[in-house]
Amino acid sequence: MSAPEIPRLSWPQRLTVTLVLVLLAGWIGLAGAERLSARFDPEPARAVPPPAVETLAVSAETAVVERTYRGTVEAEGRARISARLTAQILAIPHREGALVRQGDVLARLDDEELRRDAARLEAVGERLTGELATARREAARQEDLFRRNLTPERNLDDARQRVHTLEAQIRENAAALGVVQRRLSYAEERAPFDALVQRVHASEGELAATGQPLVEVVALNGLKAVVQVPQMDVPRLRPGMTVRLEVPALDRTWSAQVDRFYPALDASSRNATLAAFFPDDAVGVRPGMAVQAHVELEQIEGAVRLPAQAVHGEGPERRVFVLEDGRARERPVQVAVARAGEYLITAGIEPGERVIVTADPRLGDGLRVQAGEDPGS
Amino acid sequence: MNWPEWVLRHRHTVIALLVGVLVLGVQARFQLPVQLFPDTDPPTVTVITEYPGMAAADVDADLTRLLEEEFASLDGVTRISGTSQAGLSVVRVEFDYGILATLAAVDVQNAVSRVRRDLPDAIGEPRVLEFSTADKPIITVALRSDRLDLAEVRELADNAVRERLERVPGVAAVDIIGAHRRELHVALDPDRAEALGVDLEQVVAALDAWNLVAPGGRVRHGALESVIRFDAPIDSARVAGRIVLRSDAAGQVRLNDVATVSLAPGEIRNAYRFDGLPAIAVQVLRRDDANTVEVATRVRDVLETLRAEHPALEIIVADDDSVFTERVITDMTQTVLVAVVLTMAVVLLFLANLRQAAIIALSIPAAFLATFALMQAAGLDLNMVTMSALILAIGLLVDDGIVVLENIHRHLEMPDASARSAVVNGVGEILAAKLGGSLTTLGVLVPLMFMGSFIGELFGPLTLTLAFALAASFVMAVTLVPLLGVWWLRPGRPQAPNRLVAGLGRAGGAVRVYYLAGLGLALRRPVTILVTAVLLLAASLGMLRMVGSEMLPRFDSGSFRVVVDLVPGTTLEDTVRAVARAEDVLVGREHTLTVSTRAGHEAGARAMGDRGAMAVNQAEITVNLVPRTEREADQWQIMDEVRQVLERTPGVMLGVPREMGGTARASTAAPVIVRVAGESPAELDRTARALLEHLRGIPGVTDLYKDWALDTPELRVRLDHERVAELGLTGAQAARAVHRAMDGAVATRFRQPPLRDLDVVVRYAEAHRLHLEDLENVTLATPAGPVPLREVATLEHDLGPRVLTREDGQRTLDVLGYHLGRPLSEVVADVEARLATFEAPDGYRVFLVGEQADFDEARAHMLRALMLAALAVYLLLVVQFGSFAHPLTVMSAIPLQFIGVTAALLVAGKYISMPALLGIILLIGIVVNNSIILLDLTRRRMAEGLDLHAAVTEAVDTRMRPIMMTALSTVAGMFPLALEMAVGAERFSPIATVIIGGIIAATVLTLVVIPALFVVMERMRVKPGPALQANEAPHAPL
Repeated sequence: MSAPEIPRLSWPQRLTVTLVLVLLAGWIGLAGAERLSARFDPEPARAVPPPAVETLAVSAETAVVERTYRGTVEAEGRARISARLTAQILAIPHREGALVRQGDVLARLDDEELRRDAARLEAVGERLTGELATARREAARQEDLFRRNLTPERNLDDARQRVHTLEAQIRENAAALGVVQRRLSYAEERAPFDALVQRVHASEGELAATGQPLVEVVALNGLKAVVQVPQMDVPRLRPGMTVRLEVPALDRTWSAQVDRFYPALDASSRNATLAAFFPDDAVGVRPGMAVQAHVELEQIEGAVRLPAQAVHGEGPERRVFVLEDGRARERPVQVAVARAGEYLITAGIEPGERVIVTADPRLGDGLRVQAGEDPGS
Repeated sequence: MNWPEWVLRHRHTVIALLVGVLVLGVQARFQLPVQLFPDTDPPTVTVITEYPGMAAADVDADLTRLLEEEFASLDGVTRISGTSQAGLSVVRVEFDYGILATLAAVDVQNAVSRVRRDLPDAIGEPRVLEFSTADKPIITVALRSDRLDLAEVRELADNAVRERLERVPGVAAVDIIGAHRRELHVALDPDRAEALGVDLEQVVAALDAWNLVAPGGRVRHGALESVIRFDAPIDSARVAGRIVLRSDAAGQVRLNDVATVSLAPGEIRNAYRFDGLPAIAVQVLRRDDANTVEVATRVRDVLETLRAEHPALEIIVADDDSVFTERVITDMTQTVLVAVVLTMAVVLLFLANLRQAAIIALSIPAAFLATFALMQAAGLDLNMVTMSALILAIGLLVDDGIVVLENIHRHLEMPDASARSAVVNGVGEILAAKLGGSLTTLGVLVPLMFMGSFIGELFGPLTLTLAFALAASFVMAVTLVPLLGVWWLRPGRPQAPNRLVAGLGRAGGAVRVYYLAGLGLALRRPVTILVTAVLLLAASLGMLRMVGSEMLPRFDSGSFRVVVDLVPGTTLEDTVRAVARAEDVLVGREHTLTVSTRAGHEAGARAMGDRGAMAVNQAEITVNLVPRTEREADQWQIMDEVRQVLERTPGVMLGVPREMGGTARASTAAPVIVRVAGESPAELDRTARALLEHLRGIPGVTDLYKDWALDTPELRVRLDHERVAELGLTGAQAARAVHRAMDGAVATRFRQPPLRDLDVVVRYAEAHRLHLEDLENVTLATPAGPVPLREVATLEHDLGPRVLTREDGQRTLDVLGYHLGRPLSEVVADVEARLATFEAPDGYRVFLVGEQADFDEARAHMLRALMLAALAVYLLLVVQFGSFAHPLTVMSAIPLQFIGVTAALLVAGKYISMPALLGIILLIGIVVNNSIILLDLTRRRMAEGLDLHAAVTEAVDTRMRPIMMTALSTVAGMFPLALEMAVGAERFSPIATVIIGGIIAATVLTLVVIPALFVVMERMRVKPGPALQANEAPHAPL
C-alpha cells in the first residue's frame, strides 16, 4: 500500500480556493463586525414616555358648604291627657292613629255622682233663694217698724243679719255648684288641638285614678327635627341658619331654619341638640321618623369643584397640578370642604384651567405629561 | 469467535431480541407522556394564610415572618420567599431537587402546627398547597352566555362545572374567578337602624341565631325512635327580612325595617374578561406529579359533556398549554422526519448504493424505537428538550452505521470476498475503534447527566435521551447492520455508475484534490499551519467573549402576559376600562388567538401568578398568538404595540408585556433583578427609587420597575383614646365596628341545597360607605347611645405598601427589568457597572439576582461538566491507545472546534447560551472521533514501515470519505434544528448551530492541522531516539 501522490493545484484552482476562503472570511468578519458594533455602540435605550394623564377644565360655581347631622322628628305639640277625676272610664272613642279635631272628646268618665251632687246643690240654692226673699221682706218690715219706732233696733239688726247670712250661703252654694260643674266637665276629656292619637293608655271599664294617663296625642303641625350635633361643631352653628331637612323614609327634603339650640349638652354623648321646624306643608312626616339635617354652614362664591384624587397633599399643604404647555405645574390650593368624593377649592386655581385629575404619584412640578382625553369622553 | 460471527451464528436470538426491543419501542412511543417542557421547577410548597382586614405591614410582622422563621429550619429548604399584602400572607418554600413535594408538604404542615400557637387568633386556617401559586393553570376556561346573566353563569361555574372538574384525576384545584358570586346581602341603613335602636352587631347575631339547623336529641314515638331536629334555616331573602331584631313594649323591629335584604352578586372586587367581554373563568391547576397533556385532555372531555348538558353556557378554552405542546411535538416530529430525509440523502449520495442506504434507513427507525423503549424505562417524557435531543441524535446515530457499512463496503470490493466474510471482517475490524468512539461520546454525556441544580434538571433529559440514542445506534450498527448486510450485500459487483453517481464521484475527486493539496501544504509547512490555527483559535476565543451570552435563547412562543398597574387606589371599573384599550389592539386581529384579562384578586383563588394576589388597580392580560410560522409580526413587535397603547393610557403606571418563558426558570421573575434588602419599608422604597433613577437609560433594557412601592393610599384612623374610653368602648371594638360597616361581616351561611352554600354578608348600604364622610359617620354603638366615628377619631391620609416581600428571611424590594435587542450578558454588565457606583444607605444591600444569577450558577455547573467531559474522553483514550501522550494529540482537535463554533454563532446571529455550551461539550465527544480514526490508521501504517509523510497522506486519503460522510450526515441531520424549522426548536437550536460549526471546522482542520501537529510531534519525538517509537507501536489498537 503506497501513499497517494500529493497533487499540486493549478492557478485557477488556487484562485478558487483563495476566493472561497476570502468570501468565507468576509462573511464571518462582517457578522463579527456587526456584533462588535452592537456591543460597543448599542442602540440607546428608549426614552420613557411622559405619563399620560386625564385633565378636567374647571369652572367656578357657587357652592354651599353643608354639614349633615342625624336626628329624629319630634312634635312640638304633644299632650298626654290624664284623668282629672277618679272615676270609671265610660268610653274612649278614638284609638291610636285617629285624627282628632280640637274639642273632640277623647275620653268620657262616669259623672253620675257629680251630677247628683250638682242637683242637690241646685236644690239647696233654690231653698236659700226662697229663704233670702223671705228674710229680705222681714228685714224691710222691721226697717219700716223701726223708722216708726215700733220695734227695737235689735230686731232690725237680726233681720239684716239673716239676709246677709243667706246671701253668703247662696254664694257659697253657687261656688260649690260651680266646683261640681267644673268637675263634671272633667268627665269628658277633649282634644286640646288638632292631633293624632299617639297612644291610648287605659281602656273602658277601668277605674281611672286622678292623674292617670288616658290618651296621648301629638299635634299635626309644629313638627320639628331634633338633631344631635357633636360638641366640636357647636361653635359654627347658630339659630337662623338655613337647614335642609331630609326624611329618608319619605325620600323628601324640606327647607327650614335652625330654630333653637338647647343650652346644655347631653352629658353622656357630649352632643348638643338643635331643633328646626318643618314647614306646614311637610305632609307625611310623622314624629319619630329619622331625619337628616343638612345645615348650610356657608355659601362660597366662585368655588371650584374637583374630584378628590386631583388634590394632593394634606392639611394646609394641599396642591393640584394644572396642565400648561404639556407640563404639569404645581399649584397650592385652599380647600373649603370635602364631600361625596369631591373637594371644593376656594383659592389657587382659576376657572378654565385644565387640572390633572389622574393621581399619578410620579407627578411633579415641571414634569412633561401626555394629556389624554377628559374622563367620560 | 469475534462479535460479528457470534451475531451471525446466533442470528435468531439476536433477531428475536431486536424484535422484542422494537415492539417495546413502538408501544413506548404512544405511551410516553407528553409535556411542553420538563418539570425543572424545584419541589415547592406554598402556605396561604388569610388575615382578614390587616394591612400588609401587620401581616408581614405578625404572620409571614413567624412562618418563615419556622420553615427555615426544615431539611432541604433552598429558598423561602414570602409576600404579605392586605389580608393575605403567602409563603413559598422551595426544596432541593430530589425531595418529594408530598413529603415536603408534610414537613411544612408540621412546621405550621408547631408555630400555630404563636400566630394571631384572627387568622384563617393556613392552607398548605403542594404547588406554587405562581404556577400557570394548565387550562383556563372562559364561561359566558347570551341567555344567562353573569351571576347565573357564576352559579353554574361554582357548582356544576367545578364539581365535575375537581373529580378529574390529576387536577389539584379548580379556581373560579370573575366575581359575580351571589350572596345574601343585608344592606343596613345606618339612619334607620339608629332611629330604631338597632346596631350592626345585633343584626349579625340575629341572622346567625335564626339560621337554625340544630340537633335536639332523640325521642320515642311508640316503639320507634325519632331524631329531633331544629331545621329552619334561612332559605330566602324574604325569610331573612322577617327576622325579629328587637321586640319590646314599643313594638317589634324586623330586619326589613332597617335593611334591604337581597340575593344578589356580592361586591365586585375582581374581573375576568375573555376577548374583551366580561366572563367567568375556571382555572384548572394540576397536581405536581400529573401529566399536563393527559390532564388537559381529560378536562377537555369533561368540558365536552358540560357543553352538552348546559347548552345555554358558552364554554371556551381561553388558555391552554396543551394546544401549544401538541403543536410543538407535531412540528418537532416533522423536523425529525426532515432531518432523517436530509441525512439519508447525504448517505445515499456518498454510498451511491440503494441497498446500503436502505440498511442505514432501516437502522434509523430501529435505533429510534429502541431509544423510545429506553426513555420509557427511564421515566422520561416527550417534550421540547427530549425532542430536540432526538433531532440532534439523528445526525449522530447514522455515524455508527455509516462507518460500519463503509468498512463492509471496502471489504466487499476486495478480491475473493464473500458477503459473510466481508461483514465479519469489516465489522470486526472497525468494532473496537467504533466502540471507543461511541464511548468517548457517551463519556462526555455522563458528567452532563449529573450536573445537578436547575441546569441538570433541564439538560438531564436531553443528555439521557442522546445517550440512549447513541447507545441504541451503536447496538444497531453491530447487530442489525451486519445481519442485513449478509442478506442484502453482494461482493464485487460495481454497479453501472449512473450520471449522478459519476458526477458525485467527480465532485468527490475534486474535493480530494483540494484536500490533499492542503495536506501537502500542512506537511511542508507544519509550523505555519499550526501558528495560523493557533491565531485563528485565539481570535475565535476572543470573539467568543465578545459575542455576548444569555441563559436560554429568546423564544417566540406566541404567548405573553401584560402586567398592568394603574395609579394605586384606582377602582376596578377604571382599571378594566384602561385595560380594555390594550385589549382593543389585540382582540379580533388575525394574529391573535385568545386574550384573557384578570384584574383584582378573587378571595380564595390559588393561582395568583408571580405578582401575588393583585389589587383592584392591577391587571394581567394573557395573550395567545397564532404560531410564529403563521404570522408576519413577531411576538415582540406585538408586545411593543401593546406597551405603547398602555403608555398613552392615562393612569397607567406600568404596562409591561412579558413573554412566557422569558426567563429560563419559572421562579425567576425577570431577566434582570436588582434586589434591595433591608428592614424599613420606607427606606427600601426610597433606595429603590434612587436605584431606579440610577439604572435608567441602560441600552437594551425595555422596562424597569419596582415590584412594590409605598404608594397605596391608606387612611389612618387615629382614635381619641380618652373619648373612646369615656364612651365605654375599646379601640378594638371601634375598629371592628368600622370594619364591619365598611367591609362587611359574614354573619352565617345561606344554604341552598344541592348548590354550594353562599355567604350572608351584612354591611352598610352602598350609599353609606362610599366616601370619606361616610366613614366619619360610621356609628359606634356605645352604652350611652350611638356615636359617629368622627366624634372620637381623626383621619390621616398616608401611603402604605401594597405588598411586602421577603426572601430568605430578609425584607426585600426588587427592581425588575427586561431586555430586548442586546444579549443579557451585556445588559447585565452595564447594570453591574452602574451598581458599582450606587451607594446604598447603611444596613441596606443592593445586589443583582435574576437570570444572571441563574446563568452564573448554570455556567459554573457546565464548565465543571466540560472539564469532566474532557477528562473522561482523555481517560477513555488512554485506555484505548495505551498511551498518555497520544490522546493529547487526538484531543488537540477539541480546541479547533471553537473556531467553527464562533463562526457559526456569528453567522447565525446567536449568542452563547446554555444550549450552546451544551453543544460545545457534546462536540468534545464528536470531534475526537475523527482524530481517532485518522491517527489510528497513520500509526498503523507507520508501524507497517511507511514514512511519516506517506503514512499521514495515506491515512487522510483513506479516512477522508468516512470522515466527510459522517460529518456531512451529522450536519444534515442537525440543519433543521439549527434553522429552527419547528415551533419550539428555538430553545435548543444553538446546540445544533454550535455542533454544525464545530464539526465543519473540526473536520476540515482535523484533516490538515492534526497531521501537521502529528508531524511536528513526531519530529520532536524522533530527535531523542527512535527506540521510544518502536516500543510504543505494538500497543496501538487493531
